[in-house]
Order: sequence, then C-alpha cells, then structure tokens
Amino acid sequence: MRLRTLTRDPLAVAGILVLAVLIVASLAAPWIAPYDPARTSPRTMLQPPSAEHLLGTDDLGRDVLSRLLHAGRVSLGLALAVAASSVAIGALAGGAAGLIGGRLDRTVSAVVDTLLAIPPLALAMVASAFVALDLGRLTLILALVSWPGVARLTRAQVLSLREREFVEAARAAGAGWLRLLLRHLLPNALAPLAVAGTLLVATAILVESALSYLGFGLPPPTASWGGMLNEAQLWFQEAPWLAVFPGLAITLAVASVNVVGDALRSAVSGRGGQEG
Amino acid sequence: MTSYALRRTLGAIPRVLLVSLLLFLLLQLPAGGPADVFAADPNASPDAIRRIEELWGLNRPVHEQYLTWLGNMLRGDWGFSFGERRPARVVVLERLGNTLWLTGGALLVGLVAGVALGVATAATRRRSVKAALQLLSVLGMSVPTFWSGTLVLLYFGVRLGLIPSGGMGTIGQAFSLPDLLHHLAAPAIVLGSVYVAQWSRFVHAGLEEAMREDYVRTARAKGRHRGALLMRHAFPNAAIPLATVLGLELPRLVAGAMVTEVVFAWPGLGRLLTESLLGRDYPVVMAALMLLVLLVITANLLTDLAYGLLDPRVRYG
Amino acid sequence: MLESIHHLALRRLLPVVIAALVLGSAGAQSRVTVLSPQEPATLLPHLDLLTLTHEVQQLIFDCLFVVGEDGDYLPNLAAEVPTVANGGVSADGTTYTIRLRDDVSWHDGERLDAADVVYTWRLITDPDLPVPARGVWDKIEAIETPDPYTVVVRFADTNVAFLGTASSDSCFVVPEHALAGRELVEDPFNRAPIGTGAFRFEEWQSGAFIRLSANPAYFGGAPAFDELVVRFAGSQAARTSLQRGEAELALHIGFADLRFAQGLEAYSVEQAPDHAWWQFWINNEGPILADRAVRRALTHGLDKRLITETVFGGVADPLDAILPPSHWAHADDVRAYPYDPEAAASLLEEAGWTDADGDGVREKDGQRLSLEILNIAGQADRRQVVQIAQDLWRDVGIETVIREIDGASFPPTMSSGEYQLAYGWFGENQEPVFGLWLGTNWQNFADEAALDLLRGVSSTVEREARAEAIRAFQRTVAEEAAMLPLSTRPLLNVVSDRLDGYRPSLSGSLYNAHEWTVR
Repeated sequence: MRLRTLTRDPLAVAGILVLAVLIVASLAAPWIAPYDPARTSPRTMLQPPSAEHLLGTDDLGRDVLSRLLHAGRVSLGLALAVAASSVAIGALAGGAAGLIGGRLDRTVSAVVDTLLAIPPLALAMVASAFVALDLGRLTLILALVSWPGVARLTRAQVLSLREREFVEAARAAGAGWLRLLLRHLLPNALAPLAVAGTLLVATAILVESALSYLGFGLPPPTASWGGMLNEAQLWFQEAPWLAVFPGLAITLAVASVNVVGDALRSAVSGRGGQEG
Repeated sequence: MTSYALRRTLGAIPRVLLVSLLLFLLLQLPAGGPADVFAADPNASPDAIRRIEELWGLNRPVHEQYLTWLGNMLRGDWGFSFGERRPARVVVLERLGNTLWLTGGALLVGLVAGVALGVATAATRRRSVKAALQLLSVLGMSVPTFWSGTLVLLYFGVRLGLIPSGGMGTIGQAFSLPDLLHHLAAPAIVLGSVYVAQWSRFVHAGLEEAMREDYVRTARAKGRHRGALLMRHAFPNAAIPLATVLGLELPRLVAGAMVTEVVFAWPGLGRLLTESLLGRDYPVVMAALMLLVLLVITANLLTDLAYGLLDPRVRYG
Repeated sequence: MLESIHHLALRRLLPVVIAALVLGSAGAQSRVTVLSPQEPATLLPHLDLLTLTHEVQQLIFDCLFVVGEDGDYLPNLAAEVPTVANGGVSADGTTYTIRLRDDVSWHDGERLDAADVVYTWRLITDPDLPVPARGVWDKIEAIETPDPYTVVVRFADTNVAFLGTASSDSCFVVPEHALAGRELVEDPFNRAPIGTGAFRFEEWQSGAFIRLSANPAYFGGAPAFDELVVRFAGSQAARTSLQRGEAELALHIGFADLRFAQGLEAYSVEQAPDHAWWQFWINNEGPILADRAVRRALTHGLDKRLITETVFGGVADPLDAILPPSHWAHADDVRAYPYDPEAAASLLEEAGWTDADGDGVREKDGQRLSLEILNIAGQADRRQVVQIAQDLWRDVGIETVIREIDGASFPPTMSSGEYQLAYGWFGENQEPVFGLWLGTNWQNFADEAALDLLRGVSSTVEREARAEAIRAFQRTVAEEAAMLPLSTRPLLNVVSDRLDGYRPSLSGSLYNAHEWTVR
C-alpha cells in the first residue's frame, strides 16, 4: 500500500483530519461536553446559539453541543463496531463458502442472496420495532444487515485466490480450511476487505441515523444524530438551528469516511491491479 | 436468449420464497407472535380474532403457520389491516404505484444529472474544476436524504412556498400530471441527488478509462475533437457497466425512497411500512415488506435480462 | 346607427353573460378545510375512542340532542327535549319518551325512524363488539317503539345522565337498514359511512384527508358551502397550511403551536368548552405499580407546575383531582402531592427500593425500578412532557423507557393491558358517565366499593348528592394515587377570521358546521 499517494491527495488528507477530529471529540465527549446531555431544563428551551450554549438548546432545554458530542459517540462507536463485526462474520462465512464449496457454498450463497434482496433499512426497521433496543442489540441488528455484502466480496476473492500456488503448498503441508483461510487467503484479500470495511462504516452511520430519524432508534434520552433531526423538525419555525447541526455532523462523518475509503481504494488498486 | 431469460426468472422464485420465510420468522420475534397481541385484547371482537387465527394459524407449529400464511398470500388473501379496516392487499397495492413514481423520477434525475456531471467532469481539463466536482460528488453521496429533504422542504416549501408542503397531489383536485409532477419534483431531486454523485463518478471514471484506449488515442492523434470523441466512442462503451451499476443500485434506491417518502409525506410503500410498524398493523407490515422485496428482486431480474441483451457473453456463462 | 348596434350587441351578449355567470357560479365549488392532527381508524361510530374521530363523525351523523353553547340541551333528531314538565320524562326518572322528527333522511334516501334508535342501542351494548365507551346505554332495560317516530326508553332505575349521553360522546344514531346483521368491525361502512348529518361522505384517502359534500336535504338546513375536507396534518404540516391560509379551522392544536397560532394575522385561537385534562394512566395491575408507595412516589416526583409553565405556556393549570375545576363535580380537597423529590425518595426507600449498585436506578429483590411510558407520536408537547417526566423521575431513582405509537393504536394497546404508564388526555361529559373507570378501566382500578359510588351516580336525582359521591371517589383515587393527573387541558382550535358561525359546545367543535359561512 502506497501511503505516499495518500498524503499527496489534499482531499484524502482533509478527510483523515476531519475523521480524526470527529473520533477524538466523540471519544472525549464525557469530558469535553459542557453539560449533561440528558439533563432537561424546560425553562431555558429553544435558545439560539449563545456564549452559554454554543449551539443553542433544544425543546427540552438540553445543550445541543453536548448532545451532539454524545450522539457522535453513539453513532461513530456503533458504526465502527458494526463494520468490524460485519467484516469478521462476512469474511468468515464468505471465505469458508468460497474455499470449501459444495453444500456449504450453496447454503451460504442462498442466505446471502436472500438477505441482499431485502432493503437493509427495511430489515433493520422491522427488527428494531420488535425488540427493546439497546446499544448491543442495535449493533447486532445492523451487523445482520451488513454482513452479506462482505460475504459476497470475500467469496469472490477467495474463489480467485484458491488455485494459487501458495494455497496448494499450504494444503500439501496439511493445513485445514480454517488455517488456510485465516493465515493465507484472507491476508491476501485484506486490501479490498479494508476498503469494504471503511465504506461499511459510512453506511452504518447513515442507516443508524435513518433508523433514529424514523423513530426506530435508541429510546430517549439517548442522543443520536438522526434522532436529534427528528426532534428538530417540529421546531423549524422557532429554532431552525436545531435542524442544521445534526445533519451537518452526519454529513461530515460520512463524507470523511468516504474520502478515506476512496483514498484507500486508489492506494490499494495501485498494487492490486497487478494481481488482476 | 429465451432460455437465459427463463433460467433467470425461475431462479428468482426460490429467492422470493426464502425471503418470505425469513420475514415470517422475523415477525415471530414479539413474544408469541404478533397475532397474540390482538388475541389478548379484550376489546377485540371474536370475529377479528377468528380472522387473525385463520390468517396466521395461531397455536399451530411455526412451519404450519408459515405454510398457511404462504397459501393465503398466494391466493390473494394478505390479511386485514386493522389500522385501515380494509384488506391489506388493497392498502399495499394502492401505495405501490406511488413508490414507483418516486423511484422512477429519482432514477431519471440521477441518471440525467449524473451522466451530465460525469461527462462534464471528464470533458473539462481544468484540474480545479475536476477537484471541485469530485468534492461535490463525495458530499452528495454523504448527505443523508432525510436531512437534505427536510431542509429543502422547510426552506423552499414552508418558508418560500415554492414547492408543496408534502403529499402527492393537491387535495380534492382530480389527478393531473402537472400537479403530480409539481409534487414529485422536490422528493425526486432529493432522492436522485445521492445517485447523481455516485453515477457521475462512475461515468467519469469509465470515460477516463475509455479515453485511454488505443483506438481513441489514435483518433486524437489524427486531430479529432476531444468532446466529439468522448460522446461517440467512449460513452457507448461506458454505458454497459453503467447499466449494471444501475441495477445493483436499485435496491438502495427503493430503500432510500422510504426515508424520502416520510420526509415529503409521499403516500408510498416505504412510508406505509413505517406507519404500519408504528401502528402495530402486522398484516400490512408483512404485505408491504413482501412487496418491497418483490420489487427489488424484479429490478435485479430486469437488470440481469438487460445485461444479457447487451452483452451476449453473459448468456452462456 | 351606433345606438342600434349597441342595442343589438347588448341583446346578443347579455344572455351569454348571464348564462356564463350562472354556470360559473354553479361550477365553482366552495370548500371549507378543517385540519386534524390525527386520523380516525374508522368512521363507524362507537368503535373508536379518539375525540378527533368523534369530531369528524359529527359532520356525518346526528345525535338525539345536542348541547347548546350555553350548556343547555337542544333537540336535534328528537323533536323536543323531554323533561318532567312536558311529560317526556316520567316522574320517577326511569322512563324517557322521545318523539323523533319525521323529516330526517339518511344519505341514501331512507327515512330515519325509531328502529334506528333501537338498533343503535343494541350496537352500543353488544358484548361482542369492541365498544370502548357505552355511556349509560347499558343501563337501559328496554326500548319500546309504539309508533315509527316514538321511542320509549326504560331504565331499571332512576337515570339522570341519559340526556348527557344522548347529546355527546356515544350519541350518534346509526342506520339499521345498512348495518343490521353485518360483521361490523370489517364492514365497508367503516370507510364509507351513511349518516343523517349535514355532510355526506365522499372520499377517504388514507394518510391524507376525508372529503365530504354538503347534504342539501339536511333537516337542520343545507350548509352554505359545497364541500368540507378534513385534512390530517401533524404540527408542521398544519403550520404550513395555516400560514398559507389553506384552512378555515385547525382542531386541537398542541401547545407547541400556540404561540405560532397566536401570531397569525388571519386567525384567532379559541378555546372550546370541554372538561378535559392531561394525565398519566397507571396500570395498577402491573407488578411494580401495584405498590402504592411507587405510585405516590411517581406523583411526588413530578413537577406539574414546571410543565404547565413551560410546555403549556401557562395556559393550563396543574391538577390534583381526576376531574378539572371546570366541572361542577370537581373536588378541590383531594390529597395533594406537591413536587417533592425527597418525599418521593424516602417513600421508595421505605418500600424497599434502594439503589444498591449506585447506578442511579433503584432495585428491590433483584428487580429494577424500570417502567415503560406509552406515548402518542407526532405532537411536540406530548414528547416534551414525557421526556421532562422521565428526567424528573430519574432524579428519584426511577428509570423509564419511552415507547411511541400512533394515535389509532393507543386504545387497543391500552385495553390489552400491555402498558405500565401512558400519557394522554381525557374528557368527561357534563353529566359524567365515568367511562374512564366504569367503561374502559385501562388502569385496572379494582376498588369495587369506590366504583360503586360512581355506579350509583346516574340514578341519584339530587345534584348535591351526586356531587358528593363523585367527590368522595376523587378523594379515594387521590389517596391511592391510582391515576396521575397532570393538568387541565384547554381544547384549542384555530379559527379563520373569515369563518362565521363557529360556535363550539360540549357536543363538539363541528356539530353546527351547517350554520357556518365563509366570507
């Protein structure tokens, strides 16, 4: 991977910086947030941005900046967890299917195809509506929705790699399929997987926000960027600023992840192109 | 071609069945299954309970319930909507057409604007313009439609009054195409804008690559104008992969329509799904989900068939 | 020469002009638009508890009587109001003889007669039908029809509440010829009703609107305009419509929209007479809520004044009893629970709810003090109140989870008992029937002795005795904290300045829509 190409592209650099700032700010939320995001203060509701409340207050008097930071924690943390788990599950399932073939392949492919036919947001929505949501369950649901794409990708990769000499050699040496997969095949497919994982983060942020916006996200008072936007709609006349900041946060997060993913992809394809 | 088409179509059927099974199992999540919620309601009439039992086969093993439900679905009995006191099938089919309008409109917007933007990006030689357009497309891909939609609606609709504040047509007025288009414009543009970004990048990349082909470079060396070359040689070759990408994006377009429908109060399938979930109207939830899935699978099928038409190599694969 | 040409032209043109004017005015559809924040689940009367459904049904159906804006009963489908003086009510108060008008037709042309009233009674009291509020109809022993336009209603015991029931809430008379013998819950009548009212049903587009057309044969006089459309619009959509002047009336606006509505130039905000209040329903049967200490702690832990002053903009007043002060039977001496988080905390401590693990939420015997609050989605003030309550209760160690559902699902979810706390409002009839306690009883209040107090009310002739029984009941409820009243609920409608004749009463906001004119 050519890091040099990455650092030469100003867009990529900007993307990495923005993403870094967002992640650090969100992680540090409990310490840098000026107020308790769940503390209501009805007497000071719907105040425009001021020195006391940099981004204003919402319809319950809660500080928007604090909510935004804590919501970032939820959204970004969730997205990273979802990406990591989807890649893990998808790579394992898709890799095993591609490597072992036969009935396992047919089963896994059938499951993957089935899941891919359902619009992810619809599936996530229905699943969310029926369970009492908490962070863990939501992560699980979103991972359920995201792993098929990774599985399909990994399977294709493994299929193209498994006839290679190094695989034959390892097999001759007595390696089982799991070992083959984990030590030989997947590391070679690492680059496209990494790209897929990065883009999955972006998708996860969007799907989680959409879920919250529609009313199927984490229950109050947990802050979420999508949820904040949902609440902001009712007050557009009195407090237009409420609708601006959450959406901006989502856009910045998703855009920076996309940019980083793009840069990764172009850095990777520089090398990957030789292997076809 | 026909055998290819037949194979593909038949191959789609098991997919549909598997999805229906998955969805059915999903709806068993609420304790005892959704039908039990109705059965437990002391105010529900015995007749309503009987109907639910007929539809879902309460108290029977899950696989029997599924087969009963599947049989009913195939016969056209999709259950009774408790939210609207009408057969679920009627409720769902009403909304299907509306979603198709929105998705079609967005597709058109995305395609036209995306291709135009992609061509413009490829045609221009100024790097700053290229960079700016690329930044624009990244942002376009990243903006959540519920945000852009809300802002567009609230600013252009509520504040400026230029667009209707939602819905599909002016109330009480008989259906008229101009009225529909007036209501369709904003949601279609908002939904299509996400794909404008993606497809313009795709077209741009495809064109750049096509431009590097030997025969094009030869033509350039012969002094042909860049723009003309772009359109007459590079573009048609970039069109085929564009068709595939379009097909792959259709599921996401349908999903994206869901959120846009809610923002603009567009009476489509996606919004119906949201409302019926909030309203615990399970027969409608199932029917709407199945229809959405059927839409996606049909779209994939059509793409496969179109691809088969365009690229003969695929048919014998 | 010129003159004659003029005359010729005039003679030729005038008929054309007149014809154009006549045709033009005949073609122009005058329409009144009413905004409603919620959509009915059905238009078949008596099956839905939502007040907004009732408002829409007022346009299509009629009751035997209506309540005038001064609070007195007026005849409607009945030719006159029966009283003891005119012999319509027997001396012992058990028998009501009602003479029906003979000039009322259903929208399909059939005449209204006594059989329809009898059928309505049977429908409301049918045990197989999910009728949430039966009023005093189920106290009727028998109804006789000596002739097609006379109805004799016999109660087992003296009944003073009949006129109240028959003039609001569960009062709409439904057509026997269209409904008898049908499966009512699923009948197409739910979506395409036939009534006697000033407006005929034309069209219902789910999620969008219900369109009605004027009934020229209405016995109360044909409406002055051709069409009435009820549009369903949440907060934001309603505001847009009002700003654009697209509606003549907006029903039951939320407090979030009050300041906005007051700022509109072409409209005024009017309070409709009603005995309504906001409350938290408590499911007394729930494992945690069966404990009175918890219920009292919840009440002490809620700062009602904070909510009324901020969310309700000071327009509503905090309430301790389960009847508002506007009602003659309101008790102002019930046990009050002033906002006192410390009292709440000590009540919980004494009952064994302690925060052993220091996470801010109390436990007892391994069970977390966690309650679910059911709320109706879509209105800003509902969400605000519930979240403020959540925050306040968090301070005393009670954890709450909020679940939002849509308006139409609220009644069935409540009656299935699948809730712990729920937020909403309720209204009581001038002549109370206590549907909240004797009818739905979603709160699963089991004190039979107290309920008996209520049961006797409609047969007690003496008003003061009635009042005392009702007040005693309120005191019991407050003592037990079986319900958590929050505040009064002024019913606010936004009325266009161009609308004349708008006169809401306890019968509803739209019952006299046929008398409206729009400038």
